[in-house]
Amino acid sequence: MTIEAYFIDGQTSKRRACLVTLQANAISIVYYDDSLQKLSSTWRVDAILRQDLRTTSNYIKYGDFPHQVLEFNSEQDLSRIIEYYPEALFHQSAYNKFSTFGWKGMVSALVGVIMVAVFFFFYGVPFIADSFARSIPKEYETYIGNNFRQTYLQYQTIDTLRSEQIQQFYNQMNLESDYDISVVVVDSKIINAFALPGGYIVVFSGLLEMLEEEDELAGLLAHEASHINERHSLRLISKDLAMYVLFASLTGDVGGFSSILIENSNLVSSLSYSRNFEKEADLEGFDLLVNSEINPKGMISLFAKFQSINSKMEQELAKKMGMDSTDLDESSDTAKAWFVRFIENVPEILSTHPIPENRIRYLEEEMSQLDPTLTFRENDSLKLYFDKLLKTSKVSVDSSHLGFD
Amino acid sequence: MEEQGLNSDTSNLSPTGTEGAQVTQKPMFRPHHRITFHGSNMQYLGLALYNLLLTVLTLGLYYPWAKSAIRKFLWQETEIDGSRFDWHGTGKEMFRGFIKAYLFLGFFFLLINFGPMFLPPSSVIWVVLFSYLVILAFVPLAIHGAMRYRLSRTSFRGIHFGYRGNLKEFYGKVSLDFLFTILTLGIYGYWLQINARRYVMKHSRFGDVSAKFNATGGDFLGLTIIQGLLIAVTIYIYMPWALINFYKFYIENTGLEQNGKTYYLKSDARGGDFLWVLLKSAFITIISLGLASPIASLWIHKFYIESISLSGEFDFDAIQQTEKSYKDATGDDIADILDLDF
Repeated sequence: MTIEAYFIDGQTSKRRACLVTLQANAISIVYYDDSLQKLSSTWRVDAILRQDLRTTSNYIKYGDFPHQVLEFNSEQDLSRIIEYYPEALFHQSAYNKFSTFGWKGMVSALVGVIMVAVFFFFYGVPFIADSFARSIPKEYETYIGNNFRQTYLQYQTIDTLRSEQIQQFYNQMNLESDYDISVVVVDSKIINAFALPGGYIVVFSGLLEMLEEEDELAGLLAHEASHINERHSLRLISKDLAMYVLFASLTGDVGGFSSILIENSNLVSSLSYSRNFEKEADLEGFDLLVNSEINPKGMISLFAKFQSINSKMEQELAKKMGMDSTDLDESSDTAKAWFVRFIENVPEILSTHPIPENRIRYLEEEMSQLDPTLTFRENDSLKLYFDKLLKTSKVSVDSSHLGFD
Repeated sequence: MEEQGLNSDTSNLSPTGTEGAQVTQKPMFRPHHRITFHGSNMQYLGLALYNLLLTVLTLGLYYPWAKSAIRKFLWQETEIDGSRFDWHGTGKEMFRGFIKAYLFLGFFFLLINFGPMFLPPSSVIWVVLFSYLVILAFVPLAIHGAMRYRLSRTSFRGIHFGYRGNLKEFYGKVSLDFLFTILTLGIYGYWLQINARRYVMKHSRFGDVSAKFNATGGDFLGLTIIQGLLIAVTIYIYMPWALINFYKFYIENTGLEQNGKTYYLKSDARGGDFLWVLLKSAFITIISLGLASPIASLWIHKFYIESISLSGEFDFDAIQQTEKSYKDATGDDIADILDLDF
């Protein structure tokens, strides 16, 4: 078979009209040079360079650099060559095979992408990140936590006296933990507390003011100690880091905007992750208390307090908006009532913590399952330290932030 | 509407190669060489999906192969004077560059993004500052490496492009300009950018054809001030027109020197048409929930590239091969990570 084409010799860009003859294992090319002298070139089919992507271009290349090129007049001419050597390597590639599936291939690829991405996003990455966070040595974890703590406490006033007292209280509780946990009280109206990796608990004095019984403080500290035991904050950071690495490597964009994208796309999943951790900390804290023979009912009364403060704030807001307290009844369906409820009760899906109602519900369920013969120790010493704490100075409370992390 | 008018100009340019010695006798008027782009939307979408699937499956390791395939597609679908461009780079080469670039830069980006959590508070600011400086210091290397790699891997009618810049010299020029930029509180940055571009262009080759960039930092500053004012006055409505003016600034100041004569590229892109392409692209991206974004980016690419033409006197048949083989894709990937576009 013969085909008319253009030959480029790799030395200059000149296209020379040529005749291509197809033989068993080679292509023979006949062309004329500038002085009209007849020349020829023979291409071994197995040394034709691979064209791993079929585009609408119609040339093939041959040999080492600088390559010789054959340009055909049409795609049909190139197809004739490919059909003539169906087994030849120069036109074989995984993508060329894929493209023969047409739209079916595209749809399958799309479904595949979505499935794999979903799998990595919800299972693969959290699993890897979790295993990583769990394998970090305790000493290093404490080092990281200490960094956090120093950075954070730089800008806070520490109540040293109450910090000592609360530490004594914590020691009396005698909770099981692999960590040497130290508790600090920060002077602030905010009702909050949180745990840092490696054994640091920070309690805001605003939260202390609303406590009435030693069981409540015990419940709070047990919750925070469980965060530390389960390495929750480290696991959260590790998951964010892993998501960052995953997105960066998928998009090839290490520095740029994908990190912003992740922060946002990751938010909802992080929140649910964090809610799960909170629930875990509630339940593990519950068990810690029971194991140390401390009555866990304090945890429930703590959440009941949050709940009642919540509804108080609802009513205040309602008053500000000129509504009667009756307007806020369960049955009232006005837009205003809905708005007030929304503002004061962020929907659970958008919150880092389960809503107090739910926490009370599952803790009460745990209570009902406790062995009725179980006894709790007379908490005289706990009560002693707790009363000391209460006697120490009081600050007014700002309930715009409510709860503890 | 994408497929219309693609072949209108190229038919006039039927090769004169067969007449051999007679080529010296050229007609008085030769039509402009126009770039045409033939890439089909669906073909490109399929390629993008295929790449995405493999990239996800391999946890990102396929990325260099994906990038190479996309470039090959774009090059091979681009035609001037009846011939297509070609991309010779391979996934394997780019993978090597990718690994090196990631080892270098990934570490520092991780430091910047997550260092504050792990480092002692007193040293965080120094570590982050140092990391930024290191990344900054990589920019000239990235440009140099990327130019060498990209140009050496690009060919047209068998003739390879190439880059002859000297890294040391380039660093010297850029560092000095960078110092001036700091001293002038950033104003000299316009000269920094344009001087770097002039250097890079001056050392770019297409066989025995050399390139040049004609504008100065002053031109660039003037353009920026005027376009910026127009954007402000029109509350951003002027944006597409401004972008086209910047594009034309880059394109129309780029010249190709053949046989002692310089031919400047032309772009007849217009802001109004560009706005239409942008709207169309935004629409299809949103309506497909982002799935059709490869098509949108192809439209924009096609719009940009098809606006380019070159004087008909430039002879695509008379270019001599001058390059030697060259392999190293590190710079290419550093450039990619730093999002340098040139």
